[in-house]
Amino acid sequence: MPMSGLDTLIAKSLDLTIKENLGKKTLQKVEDRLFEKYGINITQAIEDFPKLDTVLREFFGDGAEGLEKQFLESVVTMEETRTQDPNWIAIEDSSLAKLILESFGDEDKKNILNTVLDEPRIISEILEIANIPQTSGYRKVNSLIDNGLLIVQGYTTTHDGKKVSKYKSIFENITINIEKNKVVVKVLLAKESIEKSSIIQVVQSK
Amino acid sequence: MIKRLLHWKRNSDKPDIVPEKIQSQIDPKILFLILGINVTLQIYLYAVFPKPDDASRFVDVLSAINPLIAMVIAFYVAKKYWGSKVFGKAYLALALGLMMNFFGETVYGIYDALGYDTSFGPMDILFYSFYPLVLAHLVLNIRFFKPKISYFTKSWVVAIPIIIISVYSVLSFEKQGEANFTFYTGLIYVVLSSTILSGTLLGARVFKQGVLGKAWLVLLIGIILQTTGDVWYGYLDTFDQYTLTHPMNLCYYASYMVITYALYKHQKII
Repeated sequence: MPMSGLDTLIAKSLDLTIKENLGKKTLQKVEDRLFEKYGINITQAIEDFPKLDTVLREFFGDGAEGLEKQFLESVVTMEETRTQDPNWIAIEDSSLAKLILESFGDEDKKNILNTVLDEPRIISEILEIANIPQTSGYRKVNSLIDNGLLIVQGYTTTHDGKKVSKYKSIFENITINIEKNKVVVKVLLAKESIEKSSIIQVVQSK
Repeated sequence: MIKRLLHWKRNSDKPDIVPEKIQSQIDPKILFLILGINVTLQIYLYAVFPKPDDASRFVDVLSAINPLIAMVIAFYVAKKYWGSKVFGKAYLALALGLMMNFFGETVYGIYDALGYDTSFGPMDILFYSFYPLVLAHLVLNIRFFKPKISYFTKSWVVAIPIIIISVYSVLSFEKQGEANFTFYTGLIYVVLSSTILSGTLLGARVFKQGVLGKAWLVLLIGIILQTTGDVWYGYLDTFDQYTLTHPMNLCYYASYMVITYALYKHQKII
């Protein structure tokens, strides 16, 4: 199963968060158990979060619950105000916020993301609408996919019968505010991004 | 080494089976060993020191060695988690708490050797410091692992110290008929001790389903012994019945040994 865009995005900071909170020794123990039980490493476990959850519960019992919430909250906070859409998340992790800001700071990447804000498109279509040359365009699209900002959503079949993936931005909207010298990045996630995120599904189910 | 080689030789042709759950049982032999050491110690004290005051030097040294060993192990464990936000800080707090008790016992021993009044002094301040530091250890762990606590849990966390303090106060007051200075100094220990007992019980409940719950259960036993010692000591001291060879001292000795075992188990598990 491919990793959801949101999970890719969160996993980048989660790895560091686990190390910071649990310490190297504890992380090693968790990694050893993940490998012993499922034959996967920590990055793969973040992708398949229920397995990480099982191992954390083996060690910490109900304590895993708090641990997972801390992991998630150190990266993003889910908005739960009545006035706002519950799919808005505030990016807490500075490296993640930097990644998003850098993507929107790059004219080509911003155009790519704007092109797929509302509906999913194939790469060639994105580059054509955004008016970006193919070579650099593909590089930038791949970078956005690697960073989890673009996700696969559906396929289209070309005239020669090939299946080509369609991509969509994981955000539907984004706000960038400066509050007391701190850059606050809030993003409105596409509903499917939340649904596909195994991390959020596991944490929210508790 | 030979044992391990023989085990490997016997089992080398068998496939390794990954356990469904991580195993880490509390070793009853260690708990019986702690019990045995303490019972032997008490028999020795009764046999060698028929007059309790003669045991002064021996008890002073013994009382300081116990928290010293637990302190060394706690610092060793803290070093293993050094740099991590939860375990690193929590185990440093516990190690510092045990250090305070070690200093307290040392100061008490010095006062005792010099013939000063040991009923209340700087050692008590050091002893009192142990509790907030243990509480810091508990809060760091619980706040991180269980940020949301139900009202029911909160209510029994508050109820346990209230019950212990009430029982201690009623028993002491009924017998004495007045609340003197010794009663109040003893009461401080009972308040602090019952608070950490309640916190440790909560911690043990949080980790109960996990393998780490075993280490917390051992820690809980250690803290129960500490609380029992504090309540018993407070009660005896109020009525001037405390002696250096009184069996209640075993609660303290055993508590440090059990806490040391809990520390060993924690670093072994995670």
